Amino acid sequence: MGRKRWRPQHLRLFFVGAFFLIAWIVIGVKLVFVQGVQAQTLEDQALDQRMRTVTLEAERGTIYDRDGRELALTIEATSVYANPKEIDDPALTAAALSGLIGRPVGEIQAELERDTSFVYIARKLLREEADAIRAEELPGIHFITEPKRVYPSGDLAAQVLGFVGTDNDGLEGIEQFYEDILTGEPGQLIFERSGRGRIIPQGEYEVREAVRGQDLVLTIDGELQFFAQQEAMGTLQETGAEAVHIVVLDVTTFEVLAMASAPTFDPNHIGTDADLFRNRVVTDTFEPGSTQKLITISAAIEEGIVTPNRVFEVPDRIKVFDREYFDFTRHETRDMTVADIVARSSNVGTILVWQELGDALLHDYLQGFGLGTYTGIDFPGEAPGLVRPDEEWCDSCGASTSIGYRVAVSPLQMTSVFATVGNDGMWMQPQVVDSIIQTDGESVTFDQQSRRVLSVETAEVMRNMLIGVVEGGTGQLAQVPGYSIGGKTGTTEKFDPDLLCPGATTPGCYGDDVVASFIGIGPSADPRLAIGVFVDSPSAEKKRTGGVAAAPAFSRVMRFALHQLGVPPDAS
Amino acid sequence: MAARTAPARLPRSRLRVIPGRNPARIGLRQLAWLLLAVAMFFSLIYSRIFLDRAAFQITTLEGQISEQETRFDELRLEVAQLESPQRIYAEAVRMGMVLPEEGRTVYAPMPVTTGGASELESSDSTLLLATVGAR
Repeated sequence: MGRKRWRPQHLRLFFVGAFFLIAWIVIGVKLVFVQGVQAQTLEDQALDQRMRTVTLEAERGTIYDRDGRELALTIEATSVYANPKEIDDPALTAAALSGLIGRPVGEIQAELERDTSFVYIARKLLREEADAIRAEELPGIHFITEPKRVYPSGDLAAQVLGFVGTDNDGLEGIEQFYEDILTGEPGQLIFERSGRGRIIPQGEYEVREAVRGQDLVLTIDGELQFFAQQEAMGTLQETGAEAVHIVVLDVTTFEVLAMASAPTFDPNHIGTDADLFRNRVVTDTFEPGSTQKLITISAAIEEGIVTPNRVFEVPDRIKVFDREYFDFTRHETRDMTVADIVARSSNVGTILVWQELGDALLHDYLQGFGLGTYTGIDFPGEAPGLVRPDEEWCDSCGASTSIGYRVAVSPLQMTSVFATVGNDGMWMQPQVVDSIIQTDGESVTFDQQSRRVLSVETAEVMRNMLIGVVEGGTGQLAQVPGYSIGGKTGTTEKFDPDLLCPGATTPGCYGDDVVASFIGIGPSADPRLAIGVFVDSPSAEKKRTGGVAAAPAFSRVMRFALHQLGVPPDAS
Repeated sequence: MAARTAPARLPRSRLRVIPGRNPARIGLRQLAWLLLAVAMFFSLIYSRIFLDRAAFQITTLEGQISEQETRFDELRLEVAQLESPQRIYAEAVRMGMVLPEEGRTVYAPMPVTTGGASELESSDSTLLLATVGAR
C-alpha cells in the first residue's frame, strides 16, 4: 500500500477547514470575552446610554409667623436659557430680550455668542414675565421650571428671616440657621429614554419622591413686627441716626415678638449692602451705659446691701482712683435714695452703691443676667458680648462697669435683663422659633434653659423703681396712657477704635457719637412685655439721649403691643 | 353443464380507501390558531398604540398638574401678599384710618357661680370683653 497523496483539492479543503476553525475559535474567544470578562462593563455602558437620572428638588419648608402668616414660601418659577448654537443673530435676540428681563443688550449678546449649548439668560421669573418672553417665540430660547423662594411681605422681618442663594441654600438669618430643617431631601426620577430622548413607555421607570422640607413657626408677631419696623424707620429719620433697633420680648416666655432694625432690605431683591443683612439686635454689641444700672442696683438689693429707701449723699462727680466720673447734669451734693438714683440715672450714686457691692458680686450678677455669654437664641452669628473676668479688673474698672462701661452687650441681651425683672427674677433663653412642623404634621417645640437671677421680691422692688424713672425721672416720654410702665434710659458714648485721644499715642478713644437707648417693661403690675429701643449715633440736635431719642418710640411700640395682645389698662 | 369453479379469493389488499380531504377546507383547529395569531398580532399593535396614547395622556395630565400647581403657588403667593401688614396698612391709610391716640377698654359684668353648679349671679366683678385700640 502506498502512502496517501495529498491532492490539491484536499489541500484547499484543509485550508478552508483551518480557516473556519480559527474563525470559530476567534469568535468563541471574543464571545467569552464579551459575555464573560467585559459583560458588566458593557451592560453598564448600554444602561448609561439609555437610562437617565433626574434629581427632583425638594420643596423648601415654609416659614410662618405666630399667627400662621406666610413669611417665606417656595413657588415654581420659570428660568430662561439659551442654546447659542441655535441662534443665528445674537444681536437681534439680545435686543428682544433686554427689555423683557432688564439686562443690558451687550451683556446678553456676549452670553449668546459663547461657544456652548447652554447659558442662563434669566433665573426664576414669575409666570407673567416668562410668558412675555415666550410670546416673542425667539429661536434658541428655552424654558425650565425651578423652585423660587419668595418673601410675600417684602422687608417684613427681613433681618430675622435672612434669605437664600440662587440654589436655594440659606445664606442669612433663620434661612441659614435652620437650613437642614427647611431643605428636605431631594428625590430621583430614573427612566429609560429612546434615542430621541423620550421616555420609553414600557422601559425602566423609577421615582423616589422628594421629601419636602419642614415648616417653621416663628414667635414673631407679623403686625407687631411691622409696627416696630415702622417705628424704627421713623425714629431713624427723626433722630438722624445711623441705625435703630427695636426688640419686643414676651416676659413670661422670652419669645421674641418683634426684632426690627432700620435701615433694612427686601430679601426678594437683596442688593449688595451686606451691612443691611445682619440682624444687629443679635449680632452687634455696644456698651449699655445707664440701662445696666439695673443690674448694679438689683444686685445690691438682692444681696441685702441697700434698700430702695437707703439714702446716699450724692455729689455730681466722684474720683475713683485715677478716674473721675460725673453725673449727666451738674448739681449740688444732695441726699438721694436708691430709688432716686435709679430715677435720675445718677452715675455717681450708682458708683457709691457699687463701692459697697464690690467687683466680685457685680461680676457674678452680670454673668447671672447672661452678659458676656451667648443667650442661646436660635439665630446665626450671635455675639456673646464681653464681660472680663473680675480678677482682670483694674482699680476703677468696677466703677465704670457699674454704670455700663467696659462691658459689651447686644440689644437682645440687654432687653433680656429687663425681661428677667419682669419675669419675677427668672432668666430664660430667648427664642425666635416657636416650633417645627414636621412632614407628618406633628409639631415639635424646644426646651428652654432658665435660671433664677433675682428673688421675686427683689424683682418687684426693681419694677417699682423703674416706674419712678418713667413717672418722674429721665424716661417720662416712655409713658403709655392707661398703663403702668417701668423702664430705664441709657446714653453711652461710642468707643471708636480708630480715634486718637488727645495726648494718646495709640488709637482708641470715645468720640462724639452715642448710643441712646430705652428699655422698659409693661404693665409693671403684671408684666407682659419687655421692649428695648436702641438708637445708634443720633445726630439731630437735642435728640441724643435715651430719654428723648428712644423713649418716644418705646411708648408707641409698647402701646401698640399691649393693645395687640389685648392687655387691659392697669393705671388711670 | 360445465362445472364452475369458485373464483379464487384474491388476497385482500392492505390498502384501504381513506376519505379524501377537501383541500379547500381548513380545520377548526387551524382556523383557531390562525385567528389567535391574527388577534395576537392586532392586540400587539393595539397595545402599542394604547401604551403610546396612555403615555401621551400621562404627559398631558402631568403638564396640567404642573400648570395647576403653578397656579396654586401663584394664588398662595397672592393671598400671602394680600395678608401682608404693609399692604393692609397702606390700604388703611388710603381709606383715612389712623391709629387711635388712646385705647378704650370695654368691660361687662362677669357672671360668677355660687354653690350650685349652674347658679349664676351678677357681681361687681367685670370681664374684659375687648381692648379696642391700635389693632
